[in-house]
Amino acid sequence: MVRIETRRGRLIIDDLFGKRYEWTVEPRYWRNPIIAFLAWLVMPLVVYGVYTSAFGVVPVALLSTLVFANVLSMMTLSLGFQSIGTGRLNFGPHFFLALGGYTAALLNVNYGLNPAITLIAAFAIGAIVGLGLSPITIISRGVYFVLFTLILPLVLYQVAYWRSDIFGAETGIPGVDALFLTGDLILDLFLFLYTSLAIATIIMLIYDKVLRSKYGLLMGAVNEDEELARMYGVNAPFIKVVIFTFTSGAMAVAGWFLAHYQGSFAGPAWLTPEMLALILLTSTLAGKGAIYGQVIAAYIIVILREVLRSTSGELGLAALYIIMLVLLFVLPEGFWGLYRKRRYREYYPTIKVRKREVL
Amino acid sequence: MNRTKWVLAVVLVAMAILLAGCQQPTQPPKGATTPIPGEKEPIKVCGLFDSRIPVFKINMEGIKVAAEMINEQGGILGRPVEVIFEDTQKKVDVAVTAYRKAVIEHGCEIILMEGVSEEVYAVAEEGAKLYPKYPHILIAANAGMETNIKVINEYDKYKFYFKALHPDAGQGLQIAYDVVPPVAELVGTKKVALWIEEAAWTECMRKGCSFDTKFGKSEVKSIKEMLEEQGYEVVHYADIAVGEKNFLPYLEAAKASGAGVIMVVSSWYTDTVTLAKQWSTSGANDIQIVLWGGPHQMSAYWKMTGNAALGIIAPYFSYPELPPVSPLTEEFEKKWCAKGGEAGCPTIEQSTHHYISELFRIKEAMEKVGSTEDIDAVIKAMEETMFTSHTVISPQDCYFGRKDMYFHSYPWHPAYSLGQYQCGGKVVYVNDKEIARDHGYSEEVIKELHPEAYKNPAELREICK
Amino acid sequence: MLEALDYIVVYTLIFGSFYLGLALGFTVITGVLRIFHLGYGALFLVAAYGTWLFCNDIGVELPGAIVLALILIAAFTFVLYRVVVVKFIEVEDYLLAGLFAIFVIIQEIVSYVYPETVGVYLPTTIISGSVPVGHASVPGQYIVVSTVSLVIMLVFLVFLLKTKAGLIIRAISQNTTAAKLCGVKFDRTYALAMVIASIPAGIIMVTIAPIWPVNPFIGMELFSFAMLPAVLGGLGNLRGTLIASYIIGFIHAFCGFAINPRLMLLVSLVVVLVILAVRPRGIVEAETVW
Repeated sequence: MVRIETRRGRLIIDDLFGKRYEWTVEPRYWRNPIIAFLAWLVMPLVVYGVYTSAFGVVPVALLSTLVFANVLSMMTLSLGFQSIGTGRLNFGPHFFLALGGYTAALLNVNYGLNPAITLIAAFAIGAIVGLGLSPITIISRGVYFVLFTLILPLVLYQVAYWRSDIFGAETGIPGVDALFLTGDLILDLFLFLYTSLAIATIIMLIYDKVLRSKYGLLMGAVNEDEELARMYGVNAPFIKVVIFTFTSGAMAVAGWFLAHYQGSFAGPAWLTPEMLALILLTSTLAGKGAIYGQVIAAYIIVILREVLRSTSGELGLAALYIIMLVLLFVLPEGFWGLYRKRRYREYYPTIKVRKREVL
Repeated sequence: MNRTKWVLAVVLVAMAILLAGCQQPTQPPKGATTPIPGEKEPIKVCGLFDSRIPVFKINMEGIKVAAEMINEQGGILGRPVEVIFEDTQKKVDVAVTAYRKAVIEHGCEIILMEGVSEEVYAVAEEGAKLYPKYPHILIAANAGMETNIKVINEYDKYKFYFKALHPDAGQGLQIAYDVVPPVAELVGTKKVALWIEEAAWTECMRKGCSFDTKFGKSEVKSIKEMLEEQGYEVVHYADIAVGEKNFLPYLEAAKASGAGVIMVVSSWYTDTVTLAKQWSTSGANDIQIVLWGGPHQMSAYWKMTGNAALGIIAPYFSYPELPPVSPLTEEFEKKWCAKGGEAGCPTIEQSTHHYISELFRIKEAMEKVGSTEDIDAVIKAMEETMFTSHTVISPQDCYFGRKDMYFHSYPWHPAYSLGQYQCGGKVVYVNDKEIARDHGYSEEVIKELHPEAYKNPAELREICK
Repeated sequence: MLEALDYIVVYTLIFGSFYLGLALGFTVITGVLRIFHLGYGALFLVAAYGTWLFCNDIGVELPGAIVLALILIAAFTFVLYRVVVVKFIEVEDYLLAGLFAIFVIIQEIVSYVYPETVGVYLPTTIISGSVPVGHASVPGQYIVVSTVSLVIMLVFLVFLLKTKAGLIIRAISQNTTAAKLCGVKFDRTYALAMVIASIPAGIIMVTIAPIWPVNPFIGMELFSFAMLPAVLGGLGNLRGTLIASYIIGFIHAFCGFAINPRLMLLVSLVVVLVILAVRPRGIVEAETVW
């Protein structure tokens, strides 16, 4: 008879077809990022499985929420990475999202370009505009930088109405080709979900890789003390321009996805202070410089928003922000801090320790 | 239990759930719940509204009252109506999520949705995908013409969508022919200042438009052109920025132009409360101002402006002043005003009337078809039947079946509804009686119109001191 | 032409003074105290709805209700300082997020308790109707608002430049450590300065209410109007704020009366962007109050 037992950190399956199998499951040897990634990957399927078994209906609302969590992840990942690399807090991330959305929608609807080309175009436009604006990361700082970036979405909002013939004002640009149209709604939803997840993953891996490289250290130096970093020969302006340009392009990709996901894109719906508040608070609650934390925070906040939307009625948003405020008090290092605290004495190294050793 | 065991347990449970989830989900709504003996399964009506926005909250209250009334009448073909609300937070992504949930998870056959164009556009696209598997009816009070064209040109794909409002192109015609001329006549002027909110939904009114549909080519001129054709002089024209708060430059320019009437075309986004406040204290406060679209259609407007609305003319739809357009107008009034208790009838606005009336129209259509489940047939019945019970619009003006640009939307705005705020916030309807008659309103409604009671703003300020 | 010139001159002063009144508190809090007050917009809501609460719901006479609302603003700011600012003063991202979250929470609660249809209106009109100035005419209440703004500016200047408390605040602003070493009671002075700087927002809100929107979502817009001149002028410098306010006032008046009122906001935003690109620390790049 097959026996399954756990002993001394091992999973043992005995007497399975006459053989004995043993695996070491001691947590200290686990590759936590891989486990977390796998959990992220299977989560939609788990949600789908639990919900359909329990209620007999497909949890479309929850799955749609997860799609938005991925979009928010794209934004917060880029904002967090940008903050590290430029030492500036950008109050206009949704401006770049709208740029990407408009680029994709306009090119697709007016010129019939397919989503693959509009993806490249959206990233390129986001990056070019980011590059054009990047000198501001060198010459401006503090609240002045904040105001500068805060004005960008306000200007685009005004322009969207002023040139409603191009941007469609409040109704936006309808008729954008959907990325997936299989005829099976649930399949489409899963395809959108995993596409957005893949984009967020790629963005996350790129940022993670950069942060673990020597450029990550340089970014950290710029973030910590720009003057000092320059004294040590770090080309801070170059780093800031490159980071601002790339992250702007990545934020535009979130807009590209939204345009091809919803089949239309209306800038004024996204260029709102509420969107900024959501991105900023989520990014802050992620934890300082925590790239993985951005995804965790985006998921927690977006799911929380959906739960409160369904349960708290008119006070749903107030409740969401009250919870976020409380979290600011109880999580001094954000969601990522919870994990870091638990892992503090364990073997798994942190980015900084490893890089310090290398140097 | 140590950590390893916890993790193992979680993994095992997750795998079990995954396996369970791999089964094909059972088709939800119909018959999913066990019917109570003697009571039929309810017809689910989902309302997608942002309850933080006062006007949408009023819509929600109105829908609840309408559902109560239908249930008191025995429901629809014996099935009670159950109303479920989903919050949209007035955001496109949330609205789409809420819509999916309404159709797939709640199994709603009727969806009533807030009239926010960007949300409705996204939802209509989603509905086109949902409809084949989940037949339902979507009703939204948004103005944008885009959705009309979709229904006309791609009928099979978008037939589930009805617009409980007059499309923007039509609104331009109504303003140019039914609103400005009678007011200009009351004032005794041919000089008009025309301000239009600069948004997508007003594009046709600002620039004119033409579109090809299966019913032929339609062409609508801009309001300015239409007014000039009738001999009016548009002495001041301005596009107003959405969300504008500073109207003084517009007001002073209108005054300098010598305009006798200022016609303001806006949505809820333009702050007409502030406009009233600034107009009443500006040098232009002797010019008759006419508003179109916004909170002025509710009795609360008077209080919101701190009585600055004195003299303003605008479409008005609140009880108890509202004329008895159909028996339902009065039936609903009883229920609605009872809610207010001693405080009187709660404020109400145009779109609320549309939503409640549409519920009754669907009831009538289902009863005509003899089925609550054959949605295709119900849609056909809604198109073919002249609905006579709308609370604020005559049957011909809310007919869904016209084979022109109004298909699946209201052909005309109520032609009796121009109210002037007079002393103490009392509203007097000043419409032209002949125009109202032409639009098929009963003599009971015509009796409520008193153009002779019109007074200009300066006169009112003097009288109401 | 002369008429347009009259309008431009008069409304530059009127609009500029109004923006100055909105920006004064923000520039002191952000520039002098160096706290980027993202919750500043909530002060306008507390003022308007506080007055309505005391006047309409509790039955206090209007002048008393206004005074109580201003006390409420002071109390709100003090609590905000003790609970959020003190806690997160060294963690700027948390401070910003916390203040922003509080603003949104206040906004949502106000919207729940007093939805727009309640018809919150503050009858604080002092001069009703319009007043002719040259060829132009101005709503009388706007003249009141402008006068109040300039008086507040004067009071601020006297307070910051001529009083001991002002000297201490300036000292803290210049060098916190040195100020502490000189025996400045840092915490108390900071709290006091923040409370004093938050009052003008309330006074302006109450005065402008008869001719401006009073609704639960007005805070963000007024906050933007406060931030534009404060940052454009150079944070913490009242002379810069004064100049920037009138620059924005001029843009609005010029666009509104001579070009196209539709472009008032758009042009002012673009001009601020351009000025900030050229002068990244505002018009008056000074570390002083005046």
